Amino acid sequence: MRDPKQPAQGMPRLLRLVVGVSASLALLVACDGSIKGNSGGPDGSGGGGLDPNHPNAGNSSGGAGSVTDPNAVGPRPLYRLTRREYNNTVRDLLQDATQPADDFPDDRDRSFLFRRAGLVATQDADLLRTAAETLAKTAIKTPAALLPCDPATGEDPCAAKFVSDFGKRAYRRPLSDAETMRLTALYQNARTAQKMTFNDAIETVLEGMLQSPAFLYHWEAPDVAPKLSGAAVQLAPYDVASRLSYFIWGTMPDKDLFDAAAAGKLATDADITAQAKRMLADAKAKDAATAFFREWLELDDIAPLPKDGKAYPDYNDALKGALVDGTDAFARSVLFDGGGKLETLLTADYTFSNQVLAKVYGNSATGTTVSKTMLDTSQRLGLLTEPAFLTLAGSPDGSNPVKRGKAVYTKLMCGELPPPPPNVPPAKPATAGGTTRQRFTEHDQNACAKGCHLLMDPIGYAFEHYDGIGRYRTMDNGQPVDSTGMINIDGADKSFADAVELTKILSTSATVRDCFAKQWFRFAVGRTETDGDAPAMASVATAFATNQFDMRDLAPAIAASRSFRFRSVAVGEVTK
Amino acid sequence: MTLIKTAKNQLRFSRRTLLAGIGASAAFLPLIDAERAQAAGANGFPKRLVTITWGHGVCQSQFYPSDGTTTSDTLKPLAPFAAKTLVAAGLDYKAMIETDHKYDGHFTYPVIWTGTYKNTGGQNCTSTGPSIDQVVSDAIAKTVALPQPLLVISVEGGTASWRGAAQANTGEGDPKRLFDKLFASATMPSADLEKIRAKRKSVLDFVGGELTSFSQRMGTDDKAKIDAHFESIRQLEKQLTASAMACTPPTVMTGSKIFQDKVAAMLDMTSMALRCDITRSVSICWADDGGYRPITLPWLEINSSFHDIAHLGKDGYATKMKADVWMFEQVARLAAGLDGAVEGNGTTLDNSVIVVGNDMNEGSGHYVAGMPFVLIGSCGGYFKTGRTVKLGNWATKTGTYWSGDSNVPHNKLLASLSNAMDVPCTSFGEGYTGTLDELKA
Repeated sequence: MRDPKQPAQGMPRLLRLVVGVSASLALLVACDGSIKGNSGGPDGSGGGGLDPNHPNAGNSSGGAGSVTDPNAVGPRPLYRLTRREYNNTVRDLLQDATQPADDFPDDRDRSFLFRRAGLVATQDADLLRTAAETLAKTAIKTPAALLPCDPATGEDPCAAKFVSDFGKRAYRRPLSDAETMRLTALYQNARTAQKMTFNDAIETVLEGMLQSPAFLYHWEAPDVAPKLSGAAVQLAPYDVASRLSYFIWGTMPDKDLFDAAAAGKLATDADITAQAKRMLADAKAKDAATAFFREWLELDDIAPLPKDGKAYPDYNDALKGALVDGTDAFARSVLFDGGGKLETLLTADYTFSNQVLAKVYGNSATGTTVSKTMLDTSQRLGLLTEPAFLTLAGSPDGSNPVKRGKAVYTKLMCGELPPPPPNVPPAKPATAGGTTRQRFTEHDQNACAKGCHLLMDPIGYAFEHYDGIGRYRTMDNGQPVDSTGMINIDGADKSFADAVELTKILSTSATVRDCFAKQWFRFAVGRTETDGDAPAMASVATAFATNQFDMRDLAPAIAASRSFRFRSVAVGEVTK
Repeated sequence: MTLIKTAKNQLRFSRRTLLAGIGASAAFLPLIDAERAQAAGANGFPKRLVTITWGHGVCQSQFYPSDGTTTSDTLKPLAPFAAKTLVAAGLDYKAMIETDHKYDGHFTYPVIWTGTYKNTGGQNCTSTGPSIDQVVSDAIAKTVALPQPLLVISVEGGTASWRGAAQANTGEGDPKRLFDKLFASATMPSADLEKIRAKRKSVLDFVGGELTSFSQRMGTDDKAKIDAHFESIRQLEKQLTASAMACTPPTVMTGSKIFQDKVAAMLDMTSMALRCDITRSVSICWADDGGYRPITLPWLEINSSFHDIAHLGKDGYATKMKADVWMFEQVARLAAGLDGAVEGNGTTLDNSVIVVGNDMNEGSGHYVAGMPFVLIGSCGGYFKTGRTVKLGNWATKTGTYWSGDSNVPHNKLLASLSNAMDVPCTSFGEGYTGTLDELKA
């Protein structure tokens, strides 16, 4: 409700209007019909500090070039391993599959779609310590697997070899002399001052390594001046190896990557592209690609997402799990078995279903494991008709044209929306009668409606054939569904009859192709693109177009791009 | 910038008073280790601060007591503590209102207890300084080493506790871990405990050295991230040096994944941790401020999200009241826990102040004036409880439905809380000076 003491202003020139509903994700646009920026991204100015919303966006000294400068490059803010990366890393470093990072706080960041671990507060430091202690305790139980030598041949030399050999894998690069000294001192203190056995002292050293910033953060050797290339920093071979590995595999480098780094073979486009292609053939690449889709589509938000139990009594943990599994499997299948085309992702005539999803799809799938199932293509086509997408962007008790329109607009078109306005009542509930569309249309007659809703709601109306958990319907609240609409995309208005037609429009849109590449780039570098990333974005776009927008070409192209192998110099950085 | 002006804490713990207190009521005191309680209130007992935060506002027409007492439909669960309750009616998040973010009520967790606001794009924002729980715990830490100088709990959603500018204090969300953190060392043989401490100290020292070296060449922003990490390591080291308290752990259900079980367990443990002087400053959140991780309350037969119900405004009041009353029942649970322990002539609650804050005034408007703050406990007699105090433009409000700007910055409440906790200051946060002397006894 509007506060009675508040004048109706408070909504300045950019008159704010809700396109919103009884849900959190209301939309709005400027009243003149314009919607803020279609390209996204911070402007690269202004201080970043600890503000996660501006992760060093302002940290580059002048962006190392102008927008058209081929030597321009984006920043590389310091990030910590995400939960997924931590779990994968200790799996590969210690053969420990207990996934200890599941106990860490959720590394969601409201201002960024993809995972980004936050600052280490006291509680986080405590949890990191607990994880390190637990991992070390387990690892030392099989010393032969952990140690590179037999301590019977000399405990102190074996400890030194452990520090050097294991340390190189834990820190993902050779240790500096100072790091070796600190680790050795930790071992010696454990043996002498604390009178520990050899194994206990090794356990202590391992605890230290696992809490060291060299293990926990994605960063460069701290004791060496960065290699300058013009105004940019060229990442060292071990840093390139790690960056490739965490991007394509979500984990630490393997022996091949370490060897390539040691041999200086990660310096050219060809070197990196060859490594990237090798890595993409590995099963770990499938897991990382799945992570991209999960985060892009926010599939992990289904688990805590409530629905109205009266409207959707079947919406339970089994269905939530199946929704995620089905879309996971679908995206994986298109990417790795189905030709990899973006167009296929959006217009595939198949999906993955099981006995639980069969109720949503109305198909005959059986079993608890999802398997490939053909769609009725008059009703559904591709990713945007996946029940997971429709459920996430649905209301608790029905469809939601606004949320669904917003999801298409922001995730597939990279459109940016200003924040929702206050004090506009939600659309009427279903009990008021009428279809969802009728109720939203009436709701949209509020002041400022034309400019705001003309562009947004029609996208969402395309999905009116699907209820709040994605079941197909022809009737809504007793009346026939109207899913016709229009989308302004690629500089033209295009009309459609329903989501099937909309998705066909999106599947060949230049805006969508450009946006999809951007999203993968954001996933790769953990931040929104800046002006300095223009050369990188251009090279990625070219590569994406080469094979008719094959999504599998994106990772190698991003890995070989300038912003992946170089970074701008940060404000205050010591480069000498 | 100076965010808080403190004078050196002059108060000295009176050993005689404390011992007398223990002698008078030893049976009820798992309580205070005389050697450790070096800084206590004037009556010989330590003062404690608890902030409790949740979102989505209140049903204003049923929240404010109409007769100057502390009784209303929403506050009914606090009835047993009516004489110890204080409603501070009419406080605005002025830093937001005056920067045209008056409707960003879903984004106020950085503001509520810091009195600072910095927009970071769209409706997102961060703090530019520490929250009251942090400031108070820092001040206490200068004179006494408590096992948990600051206890931050987040059952669902985020945190409303801030170490400093843009640095949130992550909350503990797992009851089992909280139990171990607070009570496990009390039952461990001291030889084992000493071994663990020595090892942890050596590892933390090592990590500190690594961090210092790690950031030596870094840019300003990245260095600040490592500095924050370093400070966290320093905090863990300080906790190592605090002696374990003799304390009888409460019987709580730590294994349940059910929301309301977790809230209950967390509150019962908080209660005992405060009584045992394991901590004196606590920040608790149990629901987020934006429907980001929406909670439902199925045990109240509320199956749609709390956020969506709040958005319905008056149409949803019947349902939302059930949720709001439940929330205050949880506050009452903590109050009862503290009120059950005798300290001198009063109870632990009397030496404490529990402050309840919300992210907005009412769920459909997202407005940030007239915020529903409630205090329980007089903080050692600092506050005059048992009443509703109407502030600023709200002084003349009558009836039950109050809203609109009071024109009183909530920074004043934070400054008063700081003074109540014996951390003298004349202003808190940024941009607004003064205290709320109207609340004092």
